[in-house]
Amino acid sequence: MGSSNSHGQQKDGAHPSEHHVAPFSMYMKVFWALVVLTVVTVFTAKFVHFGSHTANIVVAMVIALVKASLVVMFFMHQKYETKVNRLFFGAAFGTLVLFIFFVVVDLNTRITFTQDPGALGLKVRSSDPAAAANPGAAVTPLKPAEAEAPAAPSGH
Amino acid sequence: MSTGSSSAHHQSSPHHAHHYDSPEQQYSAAKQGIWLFMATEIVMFGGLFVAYLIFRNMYPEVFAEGAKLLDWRMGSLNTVVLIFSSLTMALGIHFLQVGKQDKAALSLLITVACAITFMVVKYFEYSHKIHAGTLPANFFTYVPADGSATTPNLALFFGMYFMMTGLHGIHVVVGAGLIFWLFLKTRRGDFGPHYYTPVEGVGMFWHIVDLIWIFLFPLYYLV
Repeated sequence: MGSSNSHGQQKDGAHPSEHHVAPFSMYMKVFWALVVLTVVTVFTAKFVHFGSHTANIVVAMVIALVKASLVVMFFMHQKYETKVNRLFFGAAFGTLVLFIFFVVVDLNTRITFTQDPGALGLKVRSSDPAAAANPGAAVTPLKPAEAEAPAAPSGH
Repeated sequence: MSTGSSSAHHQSSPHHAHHYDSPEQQYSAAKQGIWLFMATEIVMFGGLFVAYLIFRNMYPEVFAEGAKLLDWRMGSLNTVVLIFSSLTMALGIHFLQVGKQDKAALSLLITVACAITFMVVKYFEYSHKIHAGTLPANFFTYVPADGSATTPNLALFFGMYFMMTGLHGIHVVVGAGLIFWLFLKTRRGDFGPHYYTPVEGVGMFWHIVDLIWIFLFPLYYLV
């Protein structure tokens, strides 16, 4: 339990009023910080390029995380909460971080399975005699038309 | 009244329910319940954010083109409106803590006004999309003004957009109703430095609504 409880026990029951009362100025500072960060996120997303589109997304998310932390810490008084309540919130947020982490790992390590099992060194059992006779032959192009496309306009 | 807890508690706080040892314990229990509820809110919206991540990874061009069809000025305006409402909500609790009930009531009323402003802006955005046909799934009928073709699967973007901003919008409406109820109770003198638990609980809900918008805004309108 927090320190607020220790002196609350002395009198006729600890009242919520004996919890931490943050000063008015703190709320104004947090508000202006959030407004400035909103301007920064709009400006960086619309007018600044950090090399790649992914980099821009990462910058926007980092700013959003800073803004979210300010809201949770100061507006929601997480900073002055009991340990168990912080654990609840941390567990939910931690679960989400794990969820996102494994999804990102999955999305970035996927392979596209080929249509041709022979290309993977697997035994081919096909009704097509050409494929059966020559397992491991070059992968059939998915779009044969593409090979001819660039040559077409040059004739005119 | 004689339920084992000292009667002094009952006299000092009319809100003290008999099954709690002290108002302090009652307050802690209420806060704990609200934090648990907030945890469920995070995992609920979290699932939708993961869906966004997967679809964005699969169809990056859809999300790039979709963002251009949203008005980032309206999104920015709504962001500032919600941040301001979070401030007035927090100040409502602050003024109750220091015993300024009139200022607390005014803060709560401004918070409701901000929530209504947010929904009015949202109404203009949604109605524009309904007219333009930038809608989810087979409701999607949008054709650009120059008659050019749109990116395939663009309807997916609007499916995600309406799902996430819609669920968020429902939270804003519910929050506005609850805060108006708090305003009425504050006006009646139900809250003060010794008792403001419902204001604190609804306040936390309102900050979570703001928190979710802080992520929705850049993900849909900006990047």
